[in-house]
Amino acid sequence: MISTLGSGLVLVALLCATIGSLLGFRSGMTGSATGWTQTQFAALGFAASMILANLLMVYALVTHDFSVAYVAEVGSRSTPTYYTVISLWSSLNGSILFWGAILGVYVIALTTAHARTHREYMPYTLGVLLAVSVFFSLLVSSVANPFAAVEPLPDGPGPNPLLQNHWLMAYHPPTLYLGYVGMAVPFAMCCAALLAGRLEAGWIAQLRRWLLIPWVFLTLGITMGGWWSYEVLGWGGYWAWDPVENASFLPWLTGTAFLHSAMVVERRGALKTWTLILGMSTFLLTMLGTFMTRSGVFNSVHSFTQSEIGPVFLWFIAICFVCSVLLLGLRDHKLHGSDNPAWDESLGDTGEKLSVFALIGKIVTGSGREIAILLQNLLFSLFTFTVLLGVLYPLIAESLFERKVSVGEPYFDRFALPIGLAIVSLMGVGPALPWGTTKRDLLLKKFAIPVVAAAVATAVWAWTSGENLWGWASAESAWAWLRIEFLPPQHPYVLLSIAVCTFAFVANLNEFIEPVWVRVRARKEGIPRAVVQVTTRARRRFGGHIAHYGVISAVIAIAMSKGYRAESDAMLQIGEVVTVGAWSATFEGAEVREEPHRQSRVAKFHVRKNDKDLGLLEPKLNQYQRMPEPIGTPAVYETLTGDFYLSLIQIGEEGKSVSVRAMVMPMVIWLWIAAAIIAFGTIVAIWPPRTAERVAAPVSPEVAA
Amino acid sequence: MSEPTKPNIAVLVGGLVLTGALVAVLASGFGRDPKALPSVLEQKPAPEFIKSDLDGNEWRLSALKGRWVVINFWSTWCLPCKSEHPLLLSAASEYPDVQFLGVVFSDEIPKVDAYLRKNGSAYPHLADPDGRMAIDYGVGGVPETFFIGPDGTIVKKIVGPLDEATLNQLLEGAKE
Amino acid sequence: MIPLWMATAALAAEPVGIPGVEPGPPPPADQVDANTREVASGLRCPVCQGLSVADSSSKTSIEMHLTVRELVAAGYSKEQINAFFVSRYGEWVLLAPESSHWIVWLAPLLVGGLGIAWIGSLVVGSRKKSNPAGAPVAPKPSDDYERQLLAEVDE
Repeated sequence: MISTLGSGLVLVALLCATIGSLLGFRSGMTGSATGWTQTQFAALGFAASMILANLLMVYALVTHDFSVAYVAEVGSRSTPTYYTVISLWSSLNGSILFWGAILGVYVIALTTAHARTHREYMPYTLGVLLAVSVFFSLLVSSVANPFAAVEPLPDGPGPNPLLQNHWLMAYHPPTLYLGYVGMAVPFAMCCAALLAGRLEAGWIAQLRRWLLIPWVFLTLGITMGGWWSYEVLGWGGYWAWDPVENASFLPWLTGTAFLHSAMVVERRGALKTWTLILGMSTFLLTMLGTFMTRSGVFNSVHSFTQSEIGPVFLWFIAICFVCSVLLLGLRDHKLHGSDNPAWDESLGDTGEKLSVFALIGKIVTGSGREIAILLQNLLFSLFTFTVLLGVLYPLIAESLFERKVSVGEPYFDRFALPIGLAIVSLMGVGPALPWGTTKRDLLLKKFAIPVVAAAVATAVWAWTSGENLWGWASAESAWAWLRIEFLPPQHPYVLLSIAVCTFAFVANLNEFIEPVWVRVRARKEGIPRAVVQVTTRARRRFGGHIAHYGVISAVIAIAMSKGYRAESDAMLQIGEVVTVGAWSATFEGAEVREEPHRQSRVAKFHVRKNDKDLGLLEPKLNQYQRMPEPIGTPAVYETLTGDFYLSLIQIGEEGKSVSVRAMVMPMVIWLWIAAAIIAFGTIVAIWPPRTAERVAAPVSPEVAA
Repeated sequence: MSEPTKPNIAVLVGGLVLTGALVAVLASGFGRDPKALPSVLEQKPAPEFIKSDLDGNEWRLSALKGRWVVINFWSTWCLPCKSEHPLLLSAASEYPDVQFLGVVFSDEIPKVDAYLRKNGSAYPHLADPDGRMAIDYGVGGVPETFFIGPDGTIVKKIVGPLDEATLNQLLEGAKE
Repeated sequence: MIPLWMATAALAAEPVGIPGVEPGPPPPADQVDANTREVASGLRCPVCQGLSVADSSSKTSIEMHLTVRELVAAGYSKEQINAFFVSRYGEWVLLAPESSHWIVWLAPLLVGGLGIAWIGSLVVGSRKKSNPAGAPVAPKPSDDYERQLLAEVDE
């Protein structure tokens, strides 16, 4: 019964998406108003049937209808209801169905938001978006059909035990999916610009907003993944450059580059083709990421088992890539109505000859925000390329050279570190530069304080932490520099990170203080009023600055936790103590706890820091029925300055002895705080009231970035 | 930036070349198991070892020259090892000319003793307390089984539990 | 507290070494942990996915970690230890590809260089175009900064 109904709903979704897609393209070409209305109805029909299909699946899961294939795969009568509901996305076929629902939600949101605006683009946008939906509906109704009817069994095996091991597992996948699927919207909007053969400031501003929404979900999803890895996997890290982690990072990189280059398009009318390439790549990379997780071609902790959807997905990716390339190659000249005068004005100033050095000097000092953004784009693209190459290289080496290789942390870190620090320094430069040309005295005025602040902060840190400030500049530490790692003994890159982060922080803060100050002086406003006026009037600008603070927080957390982590593996009898730095833990004994779905072996440790009693920590080894080996769950005592992290290696006979890894991880918590700051900044930037007016009004050149 | 008035050849050619390369690389991954890690030791001389079994007798590989040797790395906490245990027991009695050796991987000797008393034992089990022999043989995870020819070369390495057909096929080869 | 390596080292029957390879002078005792971490963080744990031997707490990794420690303490260099593990497990045991895979190391540098060249050409190209005859152009007066800033935050 549910099988038939569910399969039917998916077929209706497929039908609506197909018809809607065709209608969308046609009404885009003819400009017919009825065609557009029909497209909207078809879009809503797709969304409604996909969402209903998901609700039906949840109903089947909760009522334990084991005649439905997916329920038989992941359901179990002994699983708590909460986990039964979220097991909707715990396995391959369910997760693809769930994708359909998210796509539906985005389709509804986009259709209602722009029901009356941007008529020249919207039919094409929905046409492309529904074409993507056709593929997902096809998947759900064929190779990955979760509604297939099976011979009912009395009980099922239950969901993947990792789902029940930590609460984050309930939020991490859907957040990431919201980010992944949502990138289809800006992709469709980019395609629409190419199909319509135009790209005005109003559309690029909307495009940027629609990319920001999934971008912030992607940011949160990636961070949650790191947090989950840190809290559950027990190795004390949050990022292992695992293929699937990289797969989620790639679209984040191109998306972030897009958010910045879109401002150049909006303000100066330049970089249109490049920006569209970034916007479209972001979606293509999310599809690549989905393929990597679900095809079984990559070796990863996160991957689902190998399945037949791999080749189907690869076809889809190939078609998407080819269509994107053809659209870009054949249509992009339509976007360039004039010869970008704004761009040239900002670059070409006087007629003097430029030597190479003068050119570099000009790029570094003399140009406006465009050049900073262009360099930022270059760094992000380079980062994307490097990560993608690292991910794909094992496949390349195997098929071309027949050599099995691994590409892991030591490779990625070496590139990520210099690129990342360069990006952070640009983050301080860009917002401080005006659009167009910059006068030299302004540069001095702008950067004197941040540079001095960076020098002071670095010196203070070196002094308080006992680093030899001059040691890292010495000849002996050349090796430490060359290794490009956050490692002791000299920690050159930790000091460099502090310098760069302080510079960027102060430069961004300056961009907030300065306008307040200008208002106070020029308009004779009181300071509180000036602060309120400045923050509420230029939301996009300050949202961006806030997001920058978040990135700085993350970089500091990474530098500190990688540079100053300390650890000790120890074997302890009851009453013995393991000490790491100022922290110590006394082993108090172990016990076994029986729960319905698992057996936990818990070791109890009494934790102290500098002789201050901090209570018990209980790292565990959880044994699930479906898993051959126990899953360790570490215990973490979190503080703002650093975490104490206990992870069990083994519990000895009768719980009288234990092998444990104890770690001190400085400032990791600022990584999670960073995601919250970035999310807050994004909300500030896209909060509707004033932007709604902006949509209707033609964008003036004075719109803040 | 000049005004492009015709198809953007750079984007078209570059994009299609990149797409082709990417799809080819990804497609090359089908049919391969990314988790399969090839052994570099097959067809190479087996590393020498001097190890004591659980009864205290010393074993060294060089002393076994001229005989087929089957070395099975296992432990009591490993479920697939338990499932292949009966198979190894019967094979050891069926092929008395072949020297079977178990190597205890990352485990506690009392647990191993208890396990063998309960489930039976037909051949010696070597203790490898520092895991050095496992590393010498490039063992990733248990169970792993090595088939060593009379000349001391590793003929075959099997990762994961053995099945009866493979085991018999390899041991029949050993008879000749 | 007994460090894990000490608890296991007590079990070992014979001193460790790599057959046929001469170790150098042993490092100072306070360097052993740091050197071990450096070597072990470059070796891939065979049973996990992409984690290093230093990070993973799987049983295999623990054994490998301890072996690395013993070899480091005996005076073997990072290159010798890496070569030993490669000879037993294969090339994939290294988390960073060897230098024979130069393409994976050089390609990012190449792309970065091309990118910089591209930006440079944009700047030069725009300069030439904005001033085709080479005639001197009067510097465009930059907007008064404060006015611009006020406009920006005022929208």
